[in-house]
Amino acid sequence: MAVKEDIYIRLSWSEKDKRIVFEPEDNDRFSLTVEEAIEACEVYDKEGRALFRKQFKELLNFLGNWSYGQREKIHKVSVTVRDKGLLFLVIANSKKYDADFDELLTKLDLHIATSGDFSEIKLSVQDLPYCDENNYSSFCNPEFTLEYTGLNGK
Amino acid sequence: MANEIEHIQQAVHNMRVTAYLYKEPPFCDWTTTLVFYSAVHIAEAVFFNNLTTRQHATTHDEREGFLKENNRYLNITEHYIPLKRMSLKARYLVGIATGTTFAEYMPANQVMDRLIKGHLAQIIKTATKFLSSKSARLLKSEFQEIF
Repeated sequence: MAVKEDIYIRLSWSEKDKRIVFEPEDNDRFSLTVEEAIEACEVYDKEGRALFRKQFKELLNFLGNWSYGQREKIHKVSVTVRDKGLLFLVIANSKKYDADFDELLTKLDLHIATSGDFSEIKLSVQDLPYCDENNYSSFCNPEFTLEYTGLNGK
Repeated sequence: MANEIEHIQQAVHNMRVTAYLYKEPPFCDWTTTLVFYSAVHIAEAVFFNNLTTRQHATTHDEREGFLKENNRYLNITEHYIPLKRMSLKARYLVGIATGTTFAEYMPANQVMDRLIKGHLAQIIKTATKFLSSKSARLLKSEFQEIF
């Protein structure tokens, strides 16, 4: 089944500002996604939720910056909300295993897991070899997925 | 819920099947999946023997969470999470119709060098520090004999 290209919320990466920029029409959907992410990460207290909202935006900028740094190896990246936490999905440019890139993904995953900057966030990292949206969409929550644009002109 | 030695026995069983499926022609996708499930049972054995509440993870996300939340398991976690990622690719690569089989994505020699003699061996090396001497001996000797 074909997937509509505009189904996901777009996060435009600004190389100049080193941060993501939201499309104005996606603001409401983004707010709903943050709330869904809070539920998925099982943050129940008021203070934790406030901290989560702050950390989540920092995380999106952090992942955007990381992805920009690896843009030659990346086809697409997105953050999707799952039942128990978040998934950072990386679609590689290559169809072959890349040991160096694999190590970078592990380091990224561990950094987020152990960094105090993202203490409220539960996130896993998953890569897939190059494939198109019809193929990787099964990994993405159709309602709550944030897809980066502007990395390497994509 | 299995106890420590039962988890280790299941890990060893999975390693034996891994070796069987690795023979010519190697089934890279299933060997990768089995390597990951060996690691799952080793992690569960470690949890059984060490966490004060003797926690048992019921999902992959929960197990990954236990590992990440406990800094003392860092040397296991850093080798466990790439196996988890690879296992998912091994199980779904054909299904997502990338036009690439798992064996084309990751040839058999890399499965052996990176996943078995790399990540799994490192998990075992670290896990033995958290296991009873009986389980640690069994795990180490079986790994050496099988691979």
